[in-house]
Formats: sequence, C-alpha cells, structure tokens
Amino acid sequence: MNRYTTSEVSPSVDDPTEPHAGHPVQRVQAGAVLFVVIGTAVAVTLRDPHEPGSFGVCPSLLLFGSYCPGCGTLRGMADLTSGDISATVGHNLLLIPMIVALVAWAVLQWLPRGKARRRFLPGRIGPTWVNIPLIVGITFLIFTVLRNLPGSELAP
Amino acid sequence: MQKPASYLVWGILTTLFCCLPFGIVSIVFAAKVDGAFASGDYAGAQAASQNAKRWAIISAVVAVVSWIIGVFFAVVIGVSLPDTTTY
Repeated sequence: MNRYTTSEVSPSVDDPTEPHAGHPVQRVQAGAVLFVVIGTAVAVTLRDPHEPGSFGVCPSLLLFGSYCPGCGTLRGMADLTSGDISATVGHNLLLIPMIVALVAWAVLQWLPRGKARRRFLPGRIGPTWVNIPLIVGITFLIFTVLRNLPGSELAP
Repeated sequence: MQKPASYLVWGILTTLFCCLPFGIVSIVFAAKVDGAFASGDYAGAQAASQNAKRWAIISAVVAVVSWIIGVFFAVVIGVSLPDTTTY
C-alpha cells in the first residue's frame, strides 16, 4: 500500500524516508489549520463580528439555542487582532489555548524530521495512556455546559 | 500494519467552527481509534477512524446548510421589517 495515496492511514512516525515531521495527509491538515486561523484574522478586520449577525448565526445557536464551544471565536479573534487580550478571554476562554495548540501542531508537521524531536511527533506526546482526543472532547463538553449556565462568566 | 488516522484535527475544527454536537461525536470516535489499535482490534480502529471522518463531514455539511438558512432568514427579515433597528 502506497502511503502517499491512501488518506485512511496515519503516519508511520518512525519512517526515516519521510523528510518532514508530519505525514503528507497531516501536512494538508496543517495547511487547513493555518488557512483557517489566518483567514479568520483577516476576515474579522474587514468586517466587525461584534455587529450581531454580521457573519450569520452559529448553527448550534440557530438549531438548538445554546452556545457551542466555538461561540465567541470571531469576536475574540477581532479583539485579539486589536490587542485586547482580556476581551478575547471574555468572549471565549479556550480560544487562545486552541490557537496556540493548533498552530504549534501545524508548524510541527512541516518541520524537517531532524528539527522535530521524536518524542514531539504525533503519537509520541506523553505516555501512551494520554488520550488527546478524549481530553479535548471532555474539555469541550465541560466548557459547553458551564458557558450555557444562566449568568455564566464563560458565555460569549 | 499502520494505525488508522483519527481525524482529530478535523473533529476539533468542525466542533469549533461548525459548532455542532456532531463535531463532538467525531472527537469521541477519534478517541476510540488509538485504544482499539493498541488492544489489537484493528477492524475496530479502522471503523472508528471512518466514523470520525464521517461525523466531521456531517458536521461541516450541516453547518454550511444552517449558515445558508440563517443568512436567508436574516435577509428576509431585514427586507420585510425595514424599521427594525436590531437584527
């Protein structure tokens, strides 16, 4: 099976012939992450998301009437681009940690193998019992519940 | 034998930007991939991988559809109620 043509297979982290730290599929994901982050930053400077409905309505708010873990992202990004960190945190507590984590991960995928230490490669972060999807999922769920409580400080 | 992709990044992006519980479902399936693979359940890992991908796509599609509906209603309300000052 050719690893460059199958998108169903994730990286062999020990493959010495791969010049980059990330598998080709993950480097595409990394590109998508950087495109979303930079594109969002540009979009919120062109159009103010603090104006209600200026970017449409969040599907969760529209369909279920409750905030999702991403609500406040656009307003937070707008405040971040104008340097107002406390307003960013007020709109979405997880926004800055998510940007840092996703951008760091994305950049790592494009580093040459030699520059990225083996233990930082995908699947090598922490001991094997550290389940990153589980941690992310539980964090999102708890955050979503907390910010939807009446009068919550975490609401966007 | 290579480990199937968990599509975690797509799950995170669709949860944050497509905002739907389906993104969470994708992350839940992503969480099952590693465990199943580690315990030797290769078919289960592959199935969880496919489900993670499927729910990320569903989340993205539903989000795009709801944005279209949302913009449509915003335009309709904006046109039909020109005196309204708020959205």
